[in-house]
Amino acid sequence: MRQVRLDDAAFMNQRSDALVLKTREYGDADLIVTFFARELGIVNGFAKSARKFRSRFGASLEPLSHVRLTLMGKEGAALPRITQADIIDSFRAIREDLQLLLHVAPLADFMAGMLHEHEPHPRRFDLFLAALRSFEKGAPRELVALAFRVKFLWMTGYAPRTGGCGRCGATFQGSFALFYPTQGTVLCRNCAPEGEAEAVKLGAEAVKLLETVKTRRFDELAVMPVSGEALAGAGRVIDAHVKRHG
Amino acid sequence: MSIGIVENLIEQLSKLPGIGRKSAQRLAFFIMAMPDAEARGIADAILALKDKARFCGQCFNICETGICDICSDARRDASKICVVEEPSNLIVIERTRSYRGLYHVLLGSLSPMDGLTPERLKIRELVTRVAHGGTEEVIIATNPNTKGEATAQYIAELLKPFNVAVSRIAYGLPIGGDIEFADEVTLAKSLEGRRTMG
Repeated sequence: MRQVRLDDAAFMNQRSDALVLKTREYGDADLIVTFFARELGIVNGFAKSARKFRSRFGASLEPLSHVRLTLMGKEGAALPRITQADIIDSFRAIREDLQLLLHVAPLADFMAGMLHEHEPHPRRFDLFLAALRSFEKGAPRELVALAFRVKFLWMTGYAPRTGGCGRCGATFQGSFALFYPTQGTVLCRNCAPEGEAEAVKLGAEAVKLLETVKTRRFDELAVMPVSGEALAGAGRVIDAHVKRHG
Repeated sequence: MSIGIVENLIEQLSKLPGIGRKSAQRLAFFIMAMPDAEARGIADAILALKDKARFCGQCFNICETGICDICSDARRDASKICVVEEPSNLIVIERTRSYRGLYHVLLGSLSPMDGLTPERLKIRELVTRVAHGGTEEVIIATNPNTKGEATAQYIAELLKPFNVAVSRIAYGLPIGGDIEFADEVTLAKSLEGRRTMG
């Protein structure tokens, strides 16, 4: 008769919807896959023989695939085994368009860098999924990428303050604002520190854009007219903010 | 016998990809039990590879001279270049005996999820080869995955200014399998790439 070990209970199947973020080749034909799983957070899994043509995983472990994932291993194990990954949405249209993929890949990287392993974040998962769907539908790439980053930072509590002066609360007036990455906020002329050279100049349209994208759905953004200048300005603020605080 | 010798071999063998300490230990004891000539054969083959093997100056296949056997074979169709990621891919295609053109080995693939780094690969050398003329078709046989697809698209874009046909090997179902076990993406790709019969 099989002896029941005390730690048998700790071995379990873990199931979750997940997005494939990255894969790394291991050994002759195996893969180590990094997922962002809705119920498990960032997790790595080991896929035995996944690179073989007759692998049961097929194309399910390609980056950005949305899958129904089953992992087998001890809870919290560093590298549980991937026992099943059924495709829900392959996001082929993104993967097969190199220019689009180059837009999306840094977002996955940005997101993974802001999350800790094994910490579930269902709302952030849903946000990334919504962004991918929007990219796939052909929404404006730069705008969706910006909106995703702003919304994600907002959800994590790291969003830059651009709606008004971060010190005195004065509302934005004039043709441009100055964003201070060290302070993580726009500051009015009275509150701006003297001699700070790092301020990012932000036009009125860019200020409005950064506020608008926080609350608009991705499909609403798709029909929003935005100038290239405003997009670039808003992007510079997010870049500077993430570089400083990310 | 000093156990240090065995320990050293285990340590050296475990540097190989996919070989953990347990497998290395098994291999070390297997080698110890081998006839001398066979064990020396393995050691000599490794040394010969390191001493003599180099990359072909034209296609970056592995060879012992400056130009590989395939590139120097006048019977091969020099108007076709098949682009592969690794020399091991070239060996597999050669085994099919259905391709008689030349090759170009990229020595890797682009990884869009980690940022493109085309300078790591032999892509510039491929473009130079095509620019020299004499090529009518470039067949891109990179792996059918995200990296391989990105590499193929990148190369196809670079070769646009030249008057050459750029083709991609077909996607499809593996022969001998059942359709019910195919995943959606592979099946969709094979439907897209269907051919008229008769």
